[in-house]
Amino acid sequence: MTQRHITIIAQQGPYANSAGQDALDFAMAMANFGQHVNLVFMHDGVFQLLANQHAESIFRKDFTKCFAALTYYDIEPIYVCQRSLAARNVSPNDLIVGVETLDEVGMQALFKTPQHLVTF
Amino acid sequence: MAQFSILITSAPHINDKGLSAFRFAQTVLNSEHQLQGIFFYQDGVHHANALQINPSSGFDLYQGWTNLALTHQCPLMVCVTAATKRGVLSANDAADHDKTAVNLSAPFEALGLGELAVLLSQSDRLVQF
Repeated sequence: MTQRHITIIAQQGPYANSAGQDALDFAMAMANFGQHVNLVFMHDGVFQLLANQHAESIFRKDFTKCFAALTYYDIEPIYVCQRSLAARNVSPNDLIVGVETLDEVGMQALFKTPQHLVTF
Repeated sequence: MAQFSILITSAPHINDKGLSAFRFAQTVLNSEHQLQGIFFYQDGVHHANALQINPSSGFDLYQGWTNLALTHQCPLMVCVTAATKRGVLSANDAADHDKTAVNLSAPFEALGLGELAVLLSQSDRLVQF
């Protein structure tokens, strides 16, 4: 199977809908089938990366715990948009480990490779 | 010539993305390019619901997809996990979960996300609606 670069943009908060979980399932499935996956969090998607979430208290499953397993799928690092963090006053220190912050130059570089782009 | 695939993640009827996707698919199929397949994920799986009743005044998108698939041998692939979660069930899925109703049938197919990976590996361009 030809390997393609697939970049997945997660841009919605974690629990208002199932987009975050769907993006994660999608990322892992593509990696399982030999595709090269980049996972990028921007806009409200950066809230998915906050450490110490307690989703059980709102009757949801904390799917964000699975981000720690992405290294086994060669989906690493997890990228996050610096500008989106700053706009929401979220410090990189508040995020889970294994996340790489990208400034605008870094974001542009990420999207330069020919690839499939999927947005959640 | 390019190989296209379409990913539909939005539900029908709530906006015009489904119709845009359909017109895009038609355009690709009538061009020198090829359409490898259409994959329905997230709320997009509602497109595959065979029990949709179309008001006589509107374009019947379900019928449109069906005709497109049959005319052009274009696969209509539906994520089985997303579909079963939303009550869109093939005969197999209905039997597996002891449900009496079936509302996903050919030319739509219930498949795993792995099939989308295969589709993407064969495509130069993916367009999401």
